[in-house]
Amino acid sequence: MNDIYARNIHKHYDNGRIRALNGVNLDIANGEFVALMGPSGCGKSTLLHMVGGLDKPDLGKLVVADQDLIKTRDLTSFRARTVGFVFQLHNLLPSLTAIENVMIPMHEIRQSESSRRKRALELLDKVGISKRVSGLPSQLSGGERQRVAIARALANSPPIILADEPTGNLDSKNGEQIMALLTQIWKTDGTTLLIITHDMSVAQRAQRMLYMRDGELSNNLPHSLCDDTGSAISFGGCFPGTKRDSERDIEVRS
Amino acid sequence: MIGLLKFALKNILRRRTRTLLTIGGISIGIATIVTLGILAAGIQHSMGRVLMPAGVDLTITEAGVGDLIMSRITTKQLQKIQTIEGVETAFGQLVSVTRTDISPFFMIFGMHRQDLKIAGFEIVEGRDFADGSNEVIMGRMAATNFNKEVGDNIVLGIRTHKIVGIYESGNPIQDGGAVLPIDVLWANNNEAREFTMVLVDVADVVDVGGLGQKIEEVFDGEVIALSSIAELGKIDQGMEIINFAVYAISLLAVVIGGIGAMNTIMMSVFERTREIGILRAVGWSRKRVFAMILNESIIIGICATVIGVLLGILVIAFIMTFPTAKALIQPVYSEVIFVIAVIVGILVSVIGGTYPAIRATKFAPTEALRYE
Ligand SMILES: Nc1ncnc2c1ncn2[C@@H]1O[C@H](COP(=O)(O)OP(=O)(O)O)[C@@H](O)[C@H]1O
Ligand SMILES: [Mg+2]
Repeated sequence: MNDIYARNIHKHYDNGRIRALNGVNLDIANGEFVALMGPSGCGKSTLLHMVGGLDKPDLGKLVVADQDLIKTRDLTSFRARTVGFVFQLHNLLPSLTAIENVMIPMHEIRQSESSRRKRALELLDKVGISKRVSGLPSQLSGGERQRVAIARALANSPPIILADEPTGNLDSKNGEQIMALLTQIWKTDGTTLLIITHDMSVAQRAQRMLYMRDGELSNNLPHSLCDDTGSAISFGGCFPGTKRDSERDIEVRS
Repeated sequence: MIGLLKFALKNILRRRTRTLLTIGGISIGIATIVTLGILAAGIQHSMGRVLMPAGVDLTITEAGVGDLIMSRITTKQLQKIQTIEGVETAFGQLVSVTRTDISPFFMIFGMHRQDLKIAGFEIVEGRDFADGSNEVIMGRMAATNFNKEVGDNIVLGIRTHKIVGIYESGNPIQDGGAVLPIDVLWANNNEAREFTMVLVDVADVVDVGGLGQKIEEVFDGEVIALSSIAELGKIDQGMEIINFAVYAISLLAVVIGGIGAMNTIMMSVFERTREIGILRAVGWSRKRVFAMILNESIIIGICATVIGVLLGILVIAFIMTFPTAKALIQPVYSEVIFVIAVIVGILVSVIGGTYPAIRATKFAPTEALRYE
């Protein structure tokens, strides 16, 4: 069976005034690397949150890693064991050090503090910041924070990694490095990787690209189509002038 | 769970000023409990010692009077008590408050000379009074406070008396008064020759409680026999009122502290909506989030209890530096009051933390993450 299987997923907000997801169908195979693109507000994050068990669809069928997420009452265990999230903003807890942040998801799974610590050190080594283990998020650079966030996502060795614009707040050099890291993890660990991005160069690393618009997945574009130059440009041209979420974010805050 | 405790500790240390203020709020409540509790126990103990001097096993008073000073035991009743089996010695004492040339409210005790010793009045200067004379003995504290010495005169009510001795009893209420021959007191204002209470020394082998019950039965419930200071409330409602006031004030202080604590924890929970959402997103259960917030609250509660208890003891030490306070109260540091303080401190923090903790478990992870 597919690792992620979604049929006719609906999610509405504000008493149906906002139709964030409007009948989404999605099939992602075990170990696949898929990029999800689309303009801001089209429902990408909402879909990712449903797949990751952060919220439930209003309607439809959603099975992830053989678990029916609509029927499961408490998704805590699913979130802890089956998926690892990497967000655009690193979302580390500011009062905890890098290693403590990585240990958070392990609380539900590993009893002993020492085994949690050992595993966290391994992971921080794996993401290449074994020297900054006791730094607070505020003392780390943007790239380093995102590495810690990746280590945290891997804490309980989940079969599925979900990343929501993981390079959205990084400069191109750091973004490149983070993508190289995620790609490498995908290759070596054999995880399923679903990544939301606005960046064509990020999306091109994926095996497959999906394009979302107004709460619907319009097309399953095979990677080869985008690979030839003409397609890539026209694909990018689908949403010229669309602001990246990060820019919108800054506007909202100021 | 060590990880969780450490995490909770880090969280409350993030806002030090606020945490300190919260701890301060609760600890004032705890200090109130400790201070008032210790003082009330001290007053109760002093009162009790008046009623039951150290050598006395049973104290008999009139039933249903509400205030000790209203109690009346007749000479006839005393004689009957003396004949009851198991009673070794029984003697009467009259307690009264009178106007004097030195103070409008002055405690006086009327008794026979031979009973002074067993009633706990130890002559430290001068001598005993002679029965039937205008002689009085005065408490050390009263003598000091009012500048009287052996040989001086004192006006009690309408008559002038001569101070022939100074006594100490170790009890601030007695030491702040005077003792005079009971027949003189009777002649002044009690024609019926009654006592306020009868003090009984019981033969060694006899069960004191049982004998007390027997005496109550003999008099058909017209008298009350106290066998321990703890039973003081049975006859004196004044003590009950003091206790009630202590509880009421303590409760108020604790409730105010508790509401303050709940308020700050609530604030800190809402400030961390996003963080709590992240914890839920990366796999924390509702239960763990609940435990974390409650841990924060309990850490605050434990700190507040320790500080509150110390503060309470400090306040008492301060109060006791005033001679007037010292004259009236001997603080009694009973364990009970400390146990109550600790239980209340923990309870307040648990109750104050529960609601915010429940609210924290209701935060949806997506709600926290949607501001991306
Ligand atoms: N919890 C929510 N309550 C109300 N509206 C929401 C909520 N979450 C998302 N939305 C709305 O749903 C739409 C899709 O949002 P989102 O999935 O975040 O888009 P994207 O990630 O593609 O930018 C937007 O219009 C957004 O404002
Ligand atoms: Mg988004």
